Amino acid sequence: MDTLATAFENTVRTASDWVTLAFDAPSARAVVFGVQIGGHLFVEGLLFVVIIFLLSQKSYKPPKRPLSKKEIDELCDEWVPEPLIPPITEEMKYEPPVLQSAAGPHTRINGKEVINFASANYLGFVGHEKILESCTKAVEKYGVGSCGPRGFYGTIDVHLDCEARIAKFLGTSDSILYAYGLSTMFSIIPAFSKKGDIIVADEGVHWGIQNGLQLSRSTIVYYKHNDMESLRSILEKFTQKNERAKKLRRYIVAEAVYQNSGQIAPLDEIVRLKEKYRFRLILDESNSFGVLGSSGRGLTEHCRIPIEKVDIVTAAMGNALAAEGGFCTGSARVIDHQRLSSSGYVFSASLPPYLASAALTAVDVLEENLDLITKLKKNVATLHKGLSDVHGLEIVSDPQSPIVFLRLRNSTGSIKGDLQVLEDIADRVLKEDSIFCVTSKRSTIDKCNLAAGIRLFVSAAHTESDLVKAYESFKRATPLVLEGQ
Amino acid sequence: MENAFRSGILAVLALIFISSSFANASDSPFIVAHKRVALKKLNPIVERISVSIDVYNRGSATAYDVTLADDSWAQDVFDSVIGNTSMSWGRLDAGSLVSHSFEFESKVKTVYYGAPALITYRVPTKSGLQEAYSTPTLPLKILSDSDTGKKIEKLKRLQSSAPPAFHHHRNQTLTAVRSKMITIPYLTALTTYFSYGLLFVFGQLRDFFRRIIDLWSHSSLQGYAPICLGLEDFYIRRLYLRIQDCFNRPISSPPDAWFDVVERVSKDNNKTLQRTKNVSRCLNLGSYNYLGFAAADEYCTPRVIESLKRFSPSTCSSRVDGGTTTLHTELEERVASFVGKPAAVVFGMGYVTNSAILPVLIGKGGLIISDSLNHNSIVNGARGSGATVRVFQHNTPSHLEKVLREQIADGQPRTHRPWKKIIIVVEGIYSMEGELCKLPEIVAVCKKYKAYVYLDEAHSIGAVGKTGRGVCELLGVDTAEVDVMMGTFTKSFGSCGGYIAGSKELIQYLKYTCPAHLYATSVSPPAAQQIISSIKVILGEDGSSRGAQKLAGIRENSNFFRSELQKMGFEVLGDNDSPVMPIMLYNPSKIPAFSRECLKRNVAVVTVAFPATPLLLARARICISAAHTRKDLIKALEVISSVGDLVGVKYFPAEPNKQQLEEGRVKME
Ligand SMILES: Cc1ncc(COP(=O)(O)O)c(C=O)c1O
Repeated sequence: MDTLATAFENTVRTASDWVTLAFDAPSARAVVFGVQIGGHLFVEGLLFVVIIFLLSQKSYKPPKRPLSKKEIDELCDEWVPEPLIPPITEEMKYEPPVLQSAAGPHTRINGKEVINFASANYLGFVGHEKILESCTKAVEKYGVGSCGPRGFYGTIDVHLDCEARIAKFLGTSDSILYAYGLSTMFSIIPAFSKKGDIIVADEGVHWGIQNGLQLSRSTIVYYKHNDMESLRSILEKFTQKNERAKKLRRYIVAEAVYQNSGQIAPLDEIVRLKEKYRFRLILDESNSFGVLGSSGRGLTEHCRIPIEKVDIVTAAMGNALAAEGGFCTGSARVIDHQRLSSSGYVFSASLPPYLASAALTAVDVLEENLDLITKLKKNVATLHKGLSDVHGLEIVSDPQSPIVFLRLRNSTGSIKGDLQVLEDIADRVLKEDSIFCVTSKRSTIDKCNLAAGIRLFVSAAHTESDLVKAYESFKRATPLVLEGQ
Repeated sequence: MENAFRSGILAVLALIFISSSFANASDSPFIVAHKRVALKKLNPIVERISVSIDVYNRGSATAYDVTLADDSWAQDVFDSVIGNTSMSWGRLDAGSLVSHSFEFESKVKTVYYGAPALITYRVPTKSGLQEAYSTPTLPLKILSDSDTGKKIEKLKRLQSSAPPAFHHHRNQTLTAVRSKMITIPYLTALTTYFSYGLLFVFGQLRDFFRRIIDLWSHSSLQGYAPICLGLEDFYIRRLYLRIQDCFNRPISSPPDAWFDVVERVSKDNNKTLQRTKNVSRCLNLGSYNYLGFAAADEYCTPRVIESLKRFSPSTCSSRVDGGTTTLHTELEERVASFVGKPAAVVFGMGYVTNSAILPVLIGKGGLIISDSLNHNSIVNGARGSGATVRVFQHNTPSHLEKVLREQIADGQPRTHRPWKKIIIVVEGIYSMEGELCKLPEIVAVCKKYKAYVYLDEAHSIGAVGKTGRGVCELLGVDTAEVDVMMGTFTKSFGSCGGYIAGSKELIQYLKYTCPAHLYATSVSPPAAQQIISSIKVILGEDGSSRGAQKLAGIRENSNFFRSELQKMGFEVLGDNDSPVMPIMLYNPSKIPAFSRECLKRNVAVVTVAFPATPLLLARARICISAAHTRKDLIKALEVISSVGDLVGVKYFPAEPNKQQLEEGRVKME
């Protein structure tokens, strides 16, 4: 190596000596204004001129003639846009049933009382006396809307009280309220994950999360729905191959109870993996907060995992709490960061104070009435059992999930086809047995492609006989619809 | 950040350039001043805009030449009625003054407000032609009422103090200068940058020491990248925390004309703030309570409570599942007829309305052309849609036309396939600028190029227009010309949520596939009732004239307040009739000063700074409400005026006659 370098050095030196000699020949010597122009100066001058010349030349490009005004006019005239929306088909004209009373366990549709399995009113808080009372007081005191974002006098004392109450209930240091459940996730993800960061998400996550993932512009990898082996291999791949990954922020995004399937995420396994591969975890507890765990503190309590192990916990308050909006909870740093960087929080009017008051009271009621959770668990078990042997349908959801998710045992081959059949079943049970339940409709921009199904939201306020009626109705109606196919 | 920095440097260079041309202007042989563009109403439909200028010949020139050179008006929108838009080489003797005026009539029979025209002047001098232009964006009403002699005196005075109202430029292309809508005094810009620079340097220094200290103590987060990134976090830690008491101030009452602001104290140098039990009753100039529906209302509140009892606060279900109650269907019908469209759909949040609808309407292969100052929800909606996004200069139809032509001619990037469709997104009132959208011109441009118009009326619906129907009504645009009308209920209606109104098919399609309709919890029933009831009040269907009074109130209040602020010498942005009026502060140290001093005097204002506005353009924003009484407004003006003096944000000379204010007061008593 050494010898090679010396040899090279020698060659260079000889060459330069030769060049100097050539130019220092008498013919190249000149004296200008008493300054002797050496050969090297001459060469340098020449080089300089050449460089200037080259720089002044445009690099070769095929001659580009801009379009003339007339040509542009023609192009504009010729351009025909697509219509704003595609042609309306029959299925787009679907009109949902209109409720004539509160969406409690029993409600009124078309003048007929029905048993409601379409509302995620898990704890039966719709129409709860104490909550109504606190809402009424709040409306009288604060009016309805907050008329401003949190930053600009839209922070009302109930918001702060509600945030503190939720944090206290969950045992975290702080929490933050969002004005709408859907906006919670799509604001939080881009606030913490930017271009270049890595997010590994479950393929079954709901649209709010998908939207957040897309807005974050991070590198996104989906793992198979609730499949820990798939998650592990992806995490492994990321950390092994990619040394740079250590410097990036890395997140796992999952739902506690999946809205699209009713399955429960195996949190203990996820936490083990996340700690092993040093990812952070964002967990959506919308359908588990107030439901899972012995006192309704959600999936962390259910799996007996301290909540600090999950970096960011979010939940919609439009389910178990029967209010509206959403919250996020975690360490003070995580929460404070959102107060300035989370788009749905900064750029939108805050939650109407009466809804914050509703959520706050709901947490109080929940804490005082642990029997509600026991009752809900019992109801879930009853309905799950009752529906587990319906001919032609199978249950996808977890036995403990408050969403009982039924899908066709024999799929028609397409989500649309399945939905049609399921819709018929739901229609039939509503019309004939007054059981109001809904299919999992899917937006054309939703990327989730888990099978469609019928969702039944169980409530602690459902009576035993409501549940029996429901599964009996399914047992009776499903074969009739499926035969009719 | 980097971008902001670069544009900052550019701005400084531009300012140096401009100021150097100021210096040159001192030997200018003439003075040009501009009257504010005025609106004349001939009869209910015919309105004329008159633009007039004064040219004063100081000495050497003998002739002048005037051309109206304004490309911010779409062609074919106006007819010149009186006066020549280009007048060549009229005679102008030394020492004399000439006034030149034009009048326009709108061809589309609509009221026209907005940034006025530019007028070029050319005057021959010894060294050749001299060119100048004038932008009458500022209150130059002074010039219209006093007599000629005084006028010239004033002109001279104004010019020598060189406020940014008067620009004289030599040999500059007009287009280069005119894109800058807000002109910043040179010194202000310099001190603003200096302040930010200082804050930045000190912040970095502190961070540096922090890091040294951190080296000794072990971090527990081995293997994790920090959850908050350096620069964004830097802004929060080192700049925002210092003034965080000016934001997020909690209140403990409805956001009505007067409200209770909860006092907060800090024990750790403003790092954290604790609420105390004390409140101070302040005049509310911050909330979007345009029509005063924020507080309990004799008509709305009983109905809201009744709906609350009947339907509970929530349906716990999405609209398409079990979240549609009779209230929701009624609300949609009312909203559709109120905004003047065949059908409407409502959502529980305004932000989500934008961010979930745009991706449904347009996707890959489509083009969204968005105003440069559009709200974050629109930006996110456009980003989430996967369509290509282009931006046009804020509220400039001519630039929109330019972008449209380029894009249609070019087609999609790389493949050059024609665009599938183009949607133009604009807002009715820009909430940070207080400006009204130039809707008639924009609609005309869109029609010409077959682009669809998406109008976000978050701040204008209910707040402007004779019957509160928003900018379309105010500017005389047929709602049929706007394809998608969006708005929110958080402002004028004192509720929550947002709506989309459009053709029956559009709404059917949205209800079929929009994620916010399919997955999100439906609007809370009492909030829906609040909207229904407030619309009834606005339309007078409650059997009273309160609605009409509110609408008249907000207009009068806004126009009164704006003109008084201008008279005091504040730099106020925005158009007449708009209830939003930003007062420019510029310097970062003036933000907390203005906000705190106002609060001390029991007036609550909103201050806005980077990142919500460009670095240089920090401002205070005032939102006027119909609930404010004249007495409230006069108190507010007094406070703002004295704080303005104290903080030094009256960037223009005050108008001498302060009598009006006093007159108003006399009338009150
Ligand atoms: C133009 C515009 N669009 C949408 C929104 C969002 O509305 P909301 O506060 O109801 O979420 C706002 C609110 O600030 C806005 O100014």
